[in-house]
Amino acid sequence: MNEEIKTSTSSPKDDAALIRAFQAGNKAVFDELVLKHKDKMFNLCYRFLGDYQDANDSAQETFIKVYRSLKKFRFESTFSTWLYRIAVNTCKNKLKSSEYRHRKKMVRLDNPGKSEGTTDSIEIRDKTQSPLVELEKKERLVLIQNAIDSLPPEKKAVVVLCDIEGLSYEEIAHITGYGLGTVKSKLARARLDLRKKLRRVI
Amino acid sequence: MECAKIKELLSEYIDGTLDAQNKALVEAHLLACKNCKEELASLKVIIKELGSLESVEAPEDFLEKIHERIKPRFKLGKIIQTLFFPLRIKIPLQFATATVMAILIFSFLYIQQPEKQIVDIRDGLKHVKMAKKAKVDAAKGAPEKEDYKPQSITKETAVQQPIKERKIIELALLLKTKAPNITYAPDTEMEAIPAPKKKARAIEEEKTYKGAPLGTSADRREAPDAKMKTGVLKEEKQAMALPERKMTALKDEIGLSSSYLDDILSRVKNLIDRVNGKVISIEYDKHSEQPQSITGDIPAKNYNSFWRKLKELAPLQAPPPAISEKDQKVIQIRIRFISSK
Repeated sequence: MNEEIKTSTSSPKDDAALIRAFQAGNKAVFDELVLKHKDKMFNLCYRFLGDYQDANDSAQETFIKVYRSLKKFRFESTFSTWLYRIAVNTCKNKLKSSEYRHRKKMVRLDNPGKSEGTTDSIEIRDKTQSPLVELEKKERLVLIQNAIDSLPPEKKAVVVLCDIEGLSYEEIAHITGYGLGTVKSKLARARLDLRKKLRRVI
Repeated sequence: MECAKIKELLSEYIDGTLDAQNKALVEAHLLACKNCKEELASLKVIIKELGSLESVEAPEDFLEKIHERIKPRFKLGKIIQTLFFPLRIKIPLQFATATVMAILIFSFLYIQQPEKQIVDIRDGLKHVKMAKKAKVDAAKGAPEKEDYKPQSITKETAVQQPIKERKIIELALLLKTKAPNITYAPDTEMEAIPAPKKKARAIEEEKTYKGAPLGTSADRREAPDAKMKTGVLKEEKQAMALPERKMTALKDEIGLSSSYLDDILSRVKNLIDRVNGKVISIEYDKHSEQPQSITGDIPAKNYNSFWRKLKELAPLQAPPPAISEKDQKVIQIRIRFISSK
């Protein structure tokens, strides 16, 4: 499962060629880079922020940052790692932003019975299941997302990058800037936290 | 105690990254501990669940939106939008902009003001020609802009001239009258008498002033008592033609001797010369042909020293007026001769 994702995302040679073309002045290749990585980045942002619109804003912002600093890219890491790093930092900043906090507060006040994840979660299509099974699955997904949302940003970043994005410990260490041991321990604690939060469901 | 440690290792055990020693430790514990075995199963489910979460795709217009956000960075409208929207966060920026605008407006107005003032001065010169204040303002303001300087100067001189001509300082010199009529009456004749004779008379006169302090001749004439002089003079005059004497005495209404007046006149002339002034005219009485006044131009700066010296000649009827316009270079003065009967 994770290996599949890994193979689909990693194409460093193609990325390097596109980046060189961009650095040579061919700005049009940026579109190719965006189209290639947009879904991966969007998913990361969505899982990190738990909100579709926030994810959209952060993913766009990530690529805008990339566009503005791609000329300075020195190939010290893979483009993918660099992209993830920018995305994670953008999402972390988004969580810190007063606008985000304010909006979350407003949502809670408007829907006191519901948690923030339920209001903005997208519709996930599943034509094969019966409505009841679909509803159960939806609820399950919402609860999982809520559990992820409740994690502190550092743990969240590690668990999302590892278990959702399927990245290796080394890659996560490069993206987050943590040591390998820190990544392992943070991942272990994050997983145990999720286990505690989802005990009733799983 | 051991369970807690094992739980920490379960994550890596699932990922298969544990070293052989820890792996054996975990496996041995799991065989004995049911709770940790359940925990392992739950963690595996969670990891599977997380990995099987459906990937959320970016919206179709994702790339377009990025293009929109990249390009308008250089467009004014978008800059304003990013500055002012959303309002909740960037209100301080609005205040900053408002403050900057206010500063710009005020500084612009402030810079423009001096130009306006110069224009006003120029206008003032055109319209208020006679006002002295305008002259002073022009003198102050003119150097600021050289362009206007020649204009202001010509205007100023045009303004100044009529004022200077009209303004005449009048000083009245009080000359002491000797004994009425007869005393100095014969002197009137002296105008007709040739110069040597006049001198001889003057010497004779001086002789009569016995004991009088030596000073200017004017002083000497004023100083002695009239009685003594008249006595001596009477004798002299008797020797001369009486009818003529009577006639001139009648004519001489101010009761001043011509020689005395001439002397004063020449002294005043000298004074004017000494203060670098210029005699313009001397006014004579039609009947007596005696000088009544003298008019002259003197430098304003010497005015004070002039009237002080004049006071030494004879007392002034009134204290000399002070000159109000210090900027005036030349002043015209008229000294009238008045007898102090």
